Amino acid sequence: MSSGTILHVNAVGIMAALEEGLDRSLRCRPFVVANLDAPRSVVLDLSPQAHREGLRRGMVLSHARNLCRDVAVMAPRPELYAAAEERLWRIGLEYTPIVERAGRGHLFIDLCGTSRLFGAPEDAAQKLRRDIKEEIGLSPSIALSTNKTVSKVATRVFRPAGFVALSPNEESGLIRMQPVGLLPGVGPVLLGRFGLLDIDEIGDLADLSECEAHAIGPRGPELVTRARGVDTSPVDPEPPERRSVSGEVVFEPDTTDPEVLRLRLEGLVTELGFTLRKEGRGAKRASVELGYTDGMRSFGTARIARVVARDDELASIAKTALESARKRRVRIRRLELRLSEIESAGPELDLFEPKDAKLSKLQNALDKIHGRFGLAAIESCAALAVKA
Amino acid sequence: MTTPEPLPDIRIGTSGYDYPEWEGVLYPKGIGRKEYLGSYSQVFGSVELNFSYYGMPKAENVRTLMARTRKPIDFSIKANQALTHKVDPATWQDSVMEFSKGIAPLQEDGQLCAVLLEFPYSFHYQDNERRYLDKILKALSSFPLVVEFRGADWFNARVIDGLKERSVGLCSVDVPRLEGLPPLSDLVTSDIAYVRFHGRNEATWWNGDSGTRYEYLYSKDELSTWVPRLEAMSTQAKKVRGYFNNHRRGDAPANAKELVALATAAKLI
Repeated sequence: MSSGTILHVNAVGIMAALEEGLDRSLRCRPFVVANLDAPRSVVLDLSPQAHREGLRRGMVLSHARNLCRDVAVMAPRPELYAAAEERLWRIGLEYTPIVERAGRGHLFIDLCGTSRLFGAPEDAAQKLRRDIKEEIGLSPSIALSTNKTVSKVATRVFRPAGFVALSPNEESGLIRMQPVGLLPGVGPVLLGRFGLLDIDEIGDLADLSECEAHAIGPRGPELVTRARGVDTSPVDPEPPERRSVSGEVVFEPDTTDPEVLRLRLEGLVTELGFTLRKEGRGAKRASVELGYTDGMRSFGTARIARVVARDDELASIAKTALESARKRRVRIRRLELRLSEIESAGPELDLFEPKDAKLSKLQNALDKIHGRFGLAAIESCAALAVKA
Repeated sequence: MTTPEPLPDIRIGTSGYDYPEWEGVLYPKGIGRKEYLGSYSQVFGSVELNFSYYGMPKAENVRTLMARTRKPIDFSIKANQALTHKVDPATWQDSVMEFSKGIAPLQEDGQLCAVLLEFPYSFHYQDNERRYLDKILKALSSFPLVVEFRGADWFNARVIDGLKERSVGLCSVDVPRLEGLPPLSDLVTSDIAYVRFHGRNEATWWNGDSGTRYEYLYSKDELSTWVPRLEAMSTQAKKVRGYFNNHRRGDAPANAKELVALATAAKLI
């Protein structure tokens, strides 16, 4: 049995670990990283000793001090943490170009095809573990499996500083036994709901039927699939800022007019679509966030199986996302559109001319004008009417 | 001038030492069995005593053993089968008392590294077993403890958190990669990082007896992969101990010596 090749590096508590590495007097002492200047400062990171005292990330600093009187407070040093993150990423790149930065202290690395250079994935993982320790002084937990979800659950189990390598037939058995809160995508709200439904372990979630999965919420089926250890998302080496594009409009005055919403959404689609097409890319998912007059927000998302880049196609999924986001009859102040799951979208080769060739030509012509004279140079009549 | 970092306390040894077939491999040929431990202590810094699994250890016997070493070594000792494999709900607490008395000299002399509780494959992650584990860990809490699970179902976050709360070590095992066995992993849950090398004999693991199951000689490449793992464990634990259980034909001492050499070359020992 051989291990999977998707490696997750989980440098939990990277800020505290770096501070501890620089100041040895902090070893074996409870300390937190928090901004002392902020009026309601919260704990950004903490040492294992502070965790044992009951302190947690996100806790208000005054409360943390009440819980642990002798806790030391270190001011955050963003440049130091950013430099360490950069080095962590670069260490990953020494093994393969397929390295995804997945948030603070988290990397996904696809070791597929590296065995001639670095040996079996387990051996490469150990080398990488040693490189991280030597160069940055961190001891992250690392896990190997066949996909990102299983690897991430595994590093959350074998934390801190543990190692586990799973073969395909070990994966399901291992993640089924874990608390459901360890599954990526399960936050405090969902966890509370699962508690009411007696879903304690990931295996309980995996056993739900399709109907039951839908009953959990819009992301229910996706979560159930992940709970079964199935995750086909590739390791995405694009930097986080290139994984999605977004734009927003603020209505003046606030509106409930569906026509205005539609037209402003189309305006955003034109803008974002143009940005993507310039780089030969398209998107699969559109997400809309609405901000209401009373400060509440709602979200909607829509996805299609293939990558689309043309304005009319992007507008179609964006409108579906808008419809699913519109849940209240309250005036809307802000609309944000985000296009994600971005992939290259070169022209499709077809033996015969495709039916929508005319639309593609129109899009190309519009892009040329927009590229040369700016987005305001040519607009639809309806969009002009809204602006007027 | 800064003082150099002290070397981590990493010691490699074998599971058991009393094997006549090791004569010519580890011990000089013709040496008496009473001399085995003395000879062993000149090569390795730690030993895992496993006679205590088959018979309840007696304090006087343990003292005799301790006196036989020629160089100071520390001892890990395997818990008796009455505490792990053949648990009688009516008498296990008496067994704890007896076992504790038997190993007391090791504790008193500061030569006890860990008490190993090796649970069988049939010991599953179920309510009764979980309760028993909690009870036995409490009953033996005056000793440094390490738990070895042979089933993969124990490798979950609740168990790991429970071991950390109780400062009980989780034994990492090097076994064949077969379904149901623990995954290839290491994690430090207490001050002691503990590794047992059982060999990777897939063919005899389920079908062989207690001897043939562990019939395996690790290659140098296989052992090399453990060097960075031991190093990583040493950053988390105060003591790291590795014991080879592939005792047939002297494979265990041969592999232990090889791993010591590799760790020494990597400046870990």
